[in-house]
Amino acid sequence: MALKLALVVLFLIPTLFPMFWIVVSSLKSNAETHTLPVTFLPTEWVWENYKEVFERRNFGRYLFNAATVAIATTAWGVLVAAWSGYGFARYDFRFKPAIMAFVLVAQSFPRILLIIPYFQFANRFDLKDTYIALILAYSTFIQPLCLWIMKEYFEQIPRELDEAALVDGASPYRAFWDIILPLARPALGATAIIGFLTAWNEYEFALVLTSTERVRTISVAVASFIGEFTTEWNLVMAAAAIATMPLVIVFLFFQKQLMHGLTGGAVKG
Amino acid sequence: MPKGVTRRDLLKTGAAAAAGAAVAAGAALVPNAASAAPSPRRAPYVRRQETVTLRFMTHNTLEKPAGDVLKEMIAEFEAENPNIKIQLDEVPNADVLTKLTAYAEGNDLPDIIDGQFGLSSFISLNAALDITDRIDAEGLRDSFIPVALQAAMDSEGRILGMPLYTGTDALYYRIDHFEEAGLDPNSPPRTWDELVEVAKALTNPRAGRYGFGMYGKTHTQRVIHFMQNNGPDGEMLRLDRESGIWTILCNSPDSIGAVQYLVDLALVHKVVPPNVVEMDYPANVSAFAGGNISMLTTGPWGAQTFIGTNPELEGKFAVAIHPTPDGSTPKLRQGSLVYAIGRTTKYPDEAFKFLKWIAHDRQSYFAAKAGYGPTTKAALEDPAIAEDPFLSVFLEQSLTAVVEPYEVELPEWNRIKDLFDPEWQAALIGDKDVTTAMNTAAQHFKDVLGDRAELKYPVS
Amino acid sequence: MSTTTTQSVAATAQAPARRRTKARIHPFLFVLPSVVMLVLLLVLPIGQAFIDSLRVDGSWSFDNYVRAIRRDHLARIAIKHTFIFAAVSVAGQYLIGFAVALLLNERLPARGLIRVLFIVPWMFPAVVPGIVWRWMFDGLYGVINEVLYRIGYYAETDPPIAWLGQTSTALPATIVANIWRGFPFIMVLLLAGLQAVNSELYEAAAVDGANVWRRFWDITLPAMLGISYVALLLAWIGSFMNFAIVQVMTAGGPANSSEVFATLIYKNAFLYADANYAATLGIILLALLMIPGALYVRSTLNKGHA
Repeated sequence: MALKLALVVLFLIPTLFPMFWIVVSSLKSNAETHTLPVTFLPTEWVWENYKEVFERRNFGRYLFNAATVAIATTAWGVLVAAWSGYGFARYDFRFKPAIMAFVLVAQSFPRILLIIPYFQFANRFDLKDTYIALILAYSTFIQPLCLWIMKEYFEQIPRELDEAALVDGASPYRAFWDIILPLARPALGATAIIGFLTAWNEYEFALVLTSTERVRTISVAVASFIGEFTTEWNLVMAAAAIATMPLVIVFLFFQKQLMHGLTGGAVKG
Repeated sequence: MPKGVTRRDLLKTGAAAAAGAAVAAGAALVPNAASAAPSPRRAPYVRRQETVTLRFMTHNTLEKPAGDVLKEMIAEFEAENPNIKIQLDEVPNADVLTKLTAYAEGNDLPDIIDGQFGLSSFISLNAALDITDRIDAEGLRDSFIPVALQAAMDSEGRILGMPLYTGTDALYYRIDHFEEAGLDPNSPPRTWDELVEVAKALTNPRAGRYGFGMYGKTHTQRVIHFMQNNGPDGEMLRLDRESGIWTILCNSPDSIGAVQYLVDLALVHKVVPPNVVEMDYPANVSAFAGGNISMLTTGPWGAQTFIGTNPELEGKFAVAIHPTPDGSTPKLRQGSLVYAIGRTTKYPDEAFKFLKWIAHDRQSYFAAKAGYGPTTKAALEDPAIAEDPFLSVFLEQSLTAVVEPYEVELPEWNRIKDLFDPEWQAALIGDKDVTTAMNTAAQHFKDVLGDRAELKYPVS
Repeated sequence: MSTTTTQSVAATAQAPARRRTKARIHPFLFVLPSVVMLVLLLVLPIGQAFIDSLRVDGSWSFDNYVRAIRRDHLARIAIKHTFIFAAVSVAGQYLIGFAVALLLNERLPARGLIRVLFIVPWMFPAVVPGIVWRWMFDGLYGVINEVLYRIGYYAETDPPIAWLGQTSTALPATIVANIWRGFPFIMVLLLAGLQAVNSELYEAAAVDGANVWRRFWDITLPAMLGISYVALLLAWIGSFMNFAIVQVMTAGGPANSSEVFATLIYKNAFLYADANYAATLGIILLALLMIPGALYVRSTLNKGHA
């Protein structure tokens, strides 16, 4: 046990060190971030940095936007993936292998090149600077992976269960919704986490598809502290900490459910 | 510093005016289709009652201290023009061009757009509205300093925007470091040899102090300042206006000599931070403000930026004329930030009004408050600017400054710059000797420009 | 989309005709939303990119491809760097991810908490990993150099190493950051796989007196093969396309020493206003990535429906 714990600590140190360094740097004065030799703890703890970050940018709004987009992406993206994943798992039809193959391969196209088509798409449908544009983009990104995860999981669920429901006169949709979906909770958990993190973390599309702070998400706000003439690393780090802390807290709070979702529901080998 | 009145007057009319006049003459010859068409928004007074919302794309509002000044000016503008609302579209500095490209490809440009990457990117994206006639209708052509307005003119003399700030580079140096090293802070280095000697005296690697800062990662076009002063062929590219052919000069003996001088500062004299190649603009600012480099060349925006980074720096640094090989008057490139009106705007009148407000009407206020280089002649007269000890050095240098045509007119400039940077970096690290590096860069320039360019010096 | 109903649950051979017609619509309705989204937002843009890649100055031409393969010295460099970046990243992510997954599959105090701590690197907004690693690797103010001084790896008089400022270390530094960012994802997938391994097998092996190593080699590893394919494939795609880390840390420099395909595409699309050439590079990248993807799909589909 002692050996195991020692190994855990050994791996945890490099894993968490950047987080530690973000927090330490965020509490230094700007001058101290540029003082040699480098100090491992702030000589003076400048908590005002966090206040300043909130004053300079509307961080509350950015966090709210990020949460809205992430939750909606998770809900919509996962629902679509589950719905269609069920179709792929339970029915055979022409082109199915080709479609499934394409689904997997399609995510190999560089996302950078999707930015302009999405921007044009958002313009055409009057979706520019809206949550919907971002949610659609992110739901598309998570679609391939989540679709595969859901399909694989549904295939593990015995077909007898839906057949029994169908014999009882339920429609396949009802069988899916009432019988199968609740059983797939672990896989839903896994895909939900992937969806949430994708939407929360994404930068380039958030930059291009939004133009005001009404919709703009947290990662753009963090990047905005890297300036033309100056980069105040203490504020950059404070912004990074603010952007990350809510997720860490949520994960810690719901660790049981989330980890169960992740580990119980991810792709079956 | 002697009185600058004559110099200022000179700046307003002379020197750069020669170049400006040539371009202006070109402009007169070019028939302007856009202006001949009647403005669609002239007549209906009814629509004036409606509130117009202008989208203002900018990175400047995110900066300190310019951001606060600019926001004040916007608030004043909205108070004076209750029917116009300004909607900020704030873009992190590094992503201005990303966003502009998306807007241009989507045919949905903001009403006022940020020219952070130079006029050449406006031209390659066809992003900016031609405002030549509006400028002339309001008689603004003469109220801008010619060398600043030139940064907003394309090769045919059309005016595509207005400069918000402008400047050359001068030498900032830390007075306190000079004193610590036993140097006289009143006699900063004027020649390249002096620069080496002073930098050596200031350098103390163990204390994390280096005599001179250089731009290794971004803003490498500052190398041009050294090329230009090292002989007649010291340049990146030279445009022959008659034939429209660019002569590639980055591998001329003059240019190579200049690059060699800078590389020697890093590799032979070791007066530059060892990580110079990863140092972008903010890294140099931080290092200067943090006391890790003692001398740095940058523009007028430097002063307020240093103080903003480290308030204790006030009074501890000074500005001197950019050093040249023999201490003669420097010939420098003048850089400007140009704002333009988006080509697709629905409200050209209102957009012009706002652009004029920030770049022209309130120029004195902006330049004085933000400490950025002024672009209008009126601003030069403003006491707050005329008496600013830092700005006066830059104004003096502007007399002999030039606008580099390639930075303004060459659509491929961003690609060319990115082909130069790696070679400059390879030389600066010592991976390549300077001659090989500059020859390689020259060959790449030729490959990109093809028939539009010629090599003057052999590349092997 | 037409359907074959041979294996369908809903439609069986003895179902009445009316029912069968209706049944044909079910798979269609299930699959529709996802397919519509993917067609609209992936297939069409990719198709458009393919068309763009064949356009030069308004006429049809293969010249963009010739240019990428024959003339663009940066494309060649970027391909090489991308392969190195992806291969080393995936190997690192997989080995570390596997080791941590094995560890976290054991009985540990506060296991839930520890598991969450290990996925922290995955929770950062996209630009942050690059930002923080750039700051840690900084040649002047970087904490990594400081640690090396403190532990005596450098002598007091040694100059600090400019990790991101020399051609030999810039790409490795971005790989380190990418491994750190990416291993939690693999770890989670592998942990899921480990939990699916039948514990009775271990018990039986223990009864037979097999040691830890034997148990790992004979039971764990074979059971993990399937999930490992998926994990490796996804990690490969992710690293091959990585943009944010390299762009923020080095932007491809110094002297192109960390230029990868994604940064090159970005520059052509957004800095040089050369959209058609950027599309060409994107199609090439897609083609390169399709090879492992297609192999995987073939193997799973054959396995699943043999």
